[in-house]
Amino acid sequence: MLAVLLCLCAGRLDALPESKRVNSVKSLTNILSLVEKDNGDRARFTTMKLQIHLEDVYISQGTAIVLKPKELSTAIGELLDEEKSRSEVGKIILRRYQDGEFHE
Amino acid sequence: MNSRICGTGLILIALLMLARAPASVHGQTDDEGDDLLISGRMEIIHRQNITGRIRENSNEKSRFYFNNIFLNLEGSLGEKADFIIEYQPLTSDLYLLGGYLTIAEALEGIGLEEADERKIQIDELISARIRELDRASEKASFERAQISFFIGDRFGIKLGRVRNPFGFWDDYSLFRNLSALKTDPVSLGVALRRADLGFVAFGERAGIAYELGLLQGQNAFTNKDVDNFKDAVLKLERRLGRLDLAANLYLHDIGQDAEPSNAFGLSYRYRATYNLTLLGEFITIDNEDLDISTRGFYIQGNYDLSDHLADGLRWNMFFETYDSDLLDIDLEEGLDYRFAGTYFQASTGFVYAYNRNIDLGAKLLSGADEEGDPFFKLAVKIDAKF
Repeated sequence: MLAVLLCLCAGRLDALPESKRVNSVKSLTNILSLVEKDNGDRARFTTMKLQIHLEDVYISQGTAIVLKPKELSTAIGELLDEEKSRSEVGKIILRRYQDGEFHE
Repeated sequence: MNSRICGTGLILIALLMLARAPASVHGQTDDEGDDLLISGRMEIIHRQNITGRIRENSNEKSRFYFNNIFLNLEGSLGEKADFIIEYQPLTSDLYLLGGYLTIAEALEGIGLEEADERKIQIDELISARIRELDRASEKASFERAQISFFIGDRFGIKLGRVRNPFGFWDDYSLFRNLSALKTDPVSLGVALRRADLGFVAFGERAGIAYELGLLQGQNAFTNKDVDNFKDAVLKLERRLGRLDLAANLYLHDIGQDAEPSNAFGLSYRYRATYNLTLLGEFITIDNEDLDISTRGFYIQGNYDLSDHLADGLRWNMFFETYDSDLLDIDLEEGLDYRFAGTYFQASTGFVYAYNRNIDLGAKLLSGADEEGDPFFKLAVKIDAKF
């Protein structure tokens, strides 16, 4: 059954949307994974700090958020191009999120 | 159990087909109409009471158990609508009782003592609620099953089994919001729980986000509706820099002749630093029918320790206090205790994200009941999302 479900869902990963309403942990994890994939292997786990923060403070408390995945992906790409480490990128995007970027 | 698993599988397949149908009917090819997520979550807990029993009606002081299992399906229904279905094939009685502690737990069995008329009345109410909770723990149910319509940029409607917008809630885990005040099933005449059947309009106007709902307001677990009275809930929220401030109002059984029982609350979320977020609520509940008033507050803190200790490690704390006429009913005569009728609980613990999908946690909870008797509880958990 699981295989059937997975097949049905295969090939459904498309380009990043400009904005994405998130009201569950899974949709948060999913969209942040896509943001990382958009920047290739060098971006792995760069959104994990942001994910934990959003999960603990918003999603788990019943508050939906509207993310801007494209904007987030661009920012991560630029930071990686500046040769920042993945850990630094994670911290920077979390701070920038808290300062009002990457969401509505 | 096997039939339950088979049933779950059939429901998931049916939901999947339903979710795909609108896209094919309307021939939509937009990105938003193309995402469909299947997910699950399970939380396994070992709980140890250092003082006292876990339930009044059992002798167990510890338990290793599944707190919850969720199977979820969510996605878009075209450009202007989406849905989420959270199916619970298994949930524990302790989860439904509020995780650690509720007023109902504190008062379970008061009618067994030498009782006056008032005690018997409250005991009957509490016993009925607890029986309902225990029955609910043996049945599969839905946490949320809602469709959201987005009408314009700043307005939408949610229909179905929706999140009650009163204040904050903890999704799934007992390791975050442990409020016993909010989950008391007696004070308001209905349990102020996370989800109920109805609809909620939401949006933003003049910088104020609002949610206005009409809910069934009865049995929160079976979706049965046996009267014509509905509950109304309103949340108004304003963001002020690092502070989110909200006023919350809940009216139980509107439309009847008598003044409806009501709950009023102020909730806040304050991003004190990049690492520390504080949130909490002040709540007052008045039930004219039962002549019960309850007031209290809780504060909750999340501190991200990844800069100091390890990536993915967070410390959290929770403190709650409330006093209630419901607690006064059970006070021992002649009790010499300064805070008689007031409940305190505090907890602290750590949660560690082993990876994106697995959380490990440990928590210690302590406090004093309405007669000043202390309690201590410990728990460890594994929380997996897949």
